[in-house]
Amino acid sequence: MNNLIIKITRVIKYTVCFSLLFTKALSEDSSEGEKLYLSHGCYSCHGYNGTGRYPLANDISGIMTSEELFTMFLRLRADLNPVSPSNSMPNYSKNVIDDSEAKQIYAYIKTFKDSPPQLEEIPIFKEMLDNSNRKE
Amino acid sequence: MGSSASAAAILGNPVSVQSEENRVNKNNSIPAPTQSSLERDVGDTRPPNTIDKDRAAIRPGSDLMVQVLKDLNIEYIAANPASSFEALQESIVNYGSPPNTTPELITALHEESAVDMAHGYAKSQGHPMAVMLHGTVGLQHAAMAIYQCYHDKTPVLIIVGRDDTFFRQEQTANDIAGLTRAFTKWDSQPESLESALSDIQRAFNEAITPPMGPTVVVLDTHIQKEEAGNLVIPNYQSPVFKKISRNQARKIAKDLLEAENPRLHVGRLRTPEGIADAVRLAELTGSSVRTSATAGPMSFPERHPLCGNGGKIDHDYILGLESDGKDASIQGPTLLSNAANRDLTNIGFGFIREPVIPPRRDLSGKNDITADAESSLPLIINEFETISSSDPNKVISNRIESYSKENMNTYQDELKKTLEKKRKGWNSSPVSLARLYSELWPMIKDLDWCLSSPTVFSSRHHVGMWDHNKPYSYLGMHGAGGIGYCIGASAGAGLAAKKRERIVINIQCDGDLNYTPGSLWTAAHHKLPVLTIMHNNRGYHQEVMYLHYMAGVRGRGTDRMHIGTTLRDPFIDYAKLAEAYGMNSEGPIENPDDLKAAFSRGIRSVLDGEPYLIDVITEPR
Repeated sequence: MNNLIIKITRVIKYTVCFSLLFTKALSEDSSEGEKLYLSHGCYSCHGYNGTGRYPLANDISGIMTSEELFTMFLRLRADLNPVSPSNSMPNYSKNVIDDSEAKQIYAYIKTFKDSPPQLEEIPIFKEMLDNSNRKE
Repeated sequence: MGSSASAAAILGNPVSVQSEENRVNKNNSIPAPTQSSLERDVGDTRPPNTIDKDRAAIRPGSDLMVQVLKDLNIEYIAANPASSFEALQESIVNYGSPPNTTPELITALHEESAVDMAHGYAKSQGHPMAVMLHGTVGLQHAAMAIYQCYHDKTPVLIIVGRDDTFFRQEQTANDIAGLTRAFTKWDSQPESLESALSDIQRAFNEAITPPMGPTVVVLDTHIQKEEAGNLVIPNYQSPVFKKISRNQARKIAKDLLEAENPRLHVGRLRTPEGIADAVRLAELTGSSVRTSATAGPMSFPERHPLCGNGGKIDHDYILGLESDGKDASIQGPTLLSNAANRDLTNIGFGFIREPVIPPRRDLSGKNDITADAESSLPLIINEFETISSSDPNKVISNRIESYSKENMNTYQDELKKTLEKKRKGWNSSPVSLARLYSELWPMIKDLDWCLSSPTVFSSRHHVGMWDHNKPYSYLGMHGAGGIGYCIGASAGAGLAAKKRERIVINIQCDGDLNYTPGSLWTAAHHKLPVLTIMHNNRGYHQEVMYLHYMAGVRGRGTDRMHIGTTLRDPFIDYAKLAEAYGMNSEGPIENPDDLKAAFSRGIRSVLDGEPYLIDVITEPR
C-alpha cells in the first residue's frame, strides 16, 4: 500500500513539474511571440489583441490547429511581385521568421481570448434591434 | 478631461474677454482685442451709414463683384488673406447691409484647406461656395484640393487675385489659371470690370452644370479697384441643363408602367430637389430602389420603405439615374466630355486624359442617355402621370406594400447580422472601430447629422448600422485619394450645418490631420458644429500593410516596416493640438468604456455651437 502511495505521489510530482515546465516554456514562447507579433506587423490586420479585421482570438480551426500548419501557412503565402499595391497577408520565408520564431508567434496568438458580451447584453444593440422591430 | 478644462480656460467666454478689455500683452505692448473688435471679427457689425463722397473710391468694382456673389447666393467665401485680392476682401467685409454676409469671409489657414472647405460644403448643400486664392503661389497651394474637387465632380467657384504691377513679380503670370487648367472645368481672365462680372456668373453656371467641377476666374487688382461709375451688373441667366427628350421620357414612363418589378438605381444627383423627385418617381411607379447613400452624398434615402430589393431579384425593368441601369441609364456627361476645353492629351491625369484607361467595370446599360438625370426626372414623372390612370393603381399600391414589407424584413435580418459582427473585440484596448461607431450611433440618430469624413480607412462601420436618409448623411471619399482632406471638408460641412441646426461628425484619421491642422482653428474661430473623433492608429496604416507585403515578396525585413510609416517616438497628442488651436478637446482615450461619456460631452459642446475633438487610440482598422 505504501509503495502504491509513493508511486502515485511520484506521478503527481512529475506531472506537476512537467506542467510547470511546459507552462513556463509556453509563457516564454508567448512572451517572445508578442515581440515578434508586433515587430512583424501581424497586428496590422489581426489587431493588437487578435480581434482586428481578420480576427485570430479564440481561433482553434484552420491554420491555428497546429504549429506545423501555422508555419506552413506563413511560407505558402503569395510571393509574386505585385503589380498593384497589396494589403494581403505577406509571405514569411525562413529568412524572415524561422521555424522557432513561428512557434513563438503561434504560442502568443493562442493566448488571445475575446469574450464580448452577447448582443442582448449590449444595451445599445438591444435598443437598435427593438427599434427596428417597432418600425414595422 | 483635463485638457478640456484647460481648453475652456484658454477659450474663455465673452464675459471673461470683456473683463480683460484693458489687458495689455506685456511682451509686445499690443492691447488685447476688445469685445467690440471681437464681434466685428466674426462679422457682427454694421456698415457705415453714409458714404463719404470725398473719398478716392466711391463705387469700387469689387463692390459689384460682391453683389454678383450675393445674387448667386454664395453663402461663404474662404480665403487666406493676400494682397492680390485686398480690394475684393475689403468689399466682402464692408459692402452690403449687413456686410460680410452672403458671402461671409471664412478665414482659412492654408489655401488647400480653403478649397477642402468648399468641397465639403458643396457636397453637403448641392450648391457651391467660393474661395479666393493669391496669384501663382496661392493657386499652387490649392492645386491638390482643386484636383480632388474635379475628380469628385464637385462645384467650387475659385477667384484668383492677380497683381500684375511690380509688387511681387514671382506671384503673377500671364496665364495663372493655366497652372490648374487640366483639372478645372472652365477659367477666364477678364480684361474689364464688365467682363469680370459676367465671367463670375458664367463660372458659377459652369461649376453647377454637369459635369460639375471647380471653375476659376482670375481678377486683376486694377479691375477690383476700378471705379464702376454707372456700370450695371449684367442680368444673370440660369444655366441650361441637358434633359432627355419628351419621347425618351414617354418611353421610360411607359416601360415603368408596364413592368411587373420595376427598379431604380439612384446614384449621386446634384441637389436635394433631385432626390425629392427620385422619391416621387419611386412612389408613383412602385419601384424598388438601389441607393448610393452609403457611398456618397445626394442619393435616395436608405431607409425609405422602397429602398432595397423588395424581395425580388427578377427585376424586369431597371432605370439608372446617374447610375447603371439594365434597360435605360440617364447619366450626365463624364469629365472627358470637357476635353475640348482642357489640355488633356498632353497633360491629362488619371481618368481625365486621352486615351483614357478603361473603367474597371462596364457601367453602361443598353439604352444609355447622356443627359442630366435630375433635370430629366420631372419629365418622366409628368409623362407617367399622363399615361397612367387617374384612379389609384391597385397593382402599384399592392407592389409598394409588398416591397415595403420585404425591405423591412431584410433590414431587420441584416441589422442583426451586422451587429453580431460588431461585438468582436468589444472590450479591447486599443478601441475597436466597430465599437467606436456603435457607441456613437444611438447618440446622434435622433439629431440632424452629417458624416463628413471618408470612412474607408476606419472600415466603414456606419454602413448597415446608421441610417443614411439625408442628402448629406455621408459625404463620401476625397475625390482622388489625396490625404489632408478630412478636417477641411468637415469644416466646410460645418459651414453648411451651422445655420441649419445640423451637426457634423468627422471620424478623423491621424495621418490626414497632420497635413492641414489649421482647419481646427477655422472651426473654432467660426464656431462650426463639428465633432472630430480621432481614429488614432498612430500610423499611415495602409502603407504599413503595403510595405509588409512588399518585404514578404522579397523575403527580407518584415520587422522594419514601421520605418517611415508609423507616428511613434513620440506619439502625437491630438487633444493638445486641438487645444492649441482653441478647440475644446479630450483624450487620448484607450478604454472603450470611456467612449460614451466622452461622446456625450462632445455632442453637447457641438450642439452649443463649439467644435470638439476626442482623441481615441484605435485598432489599426
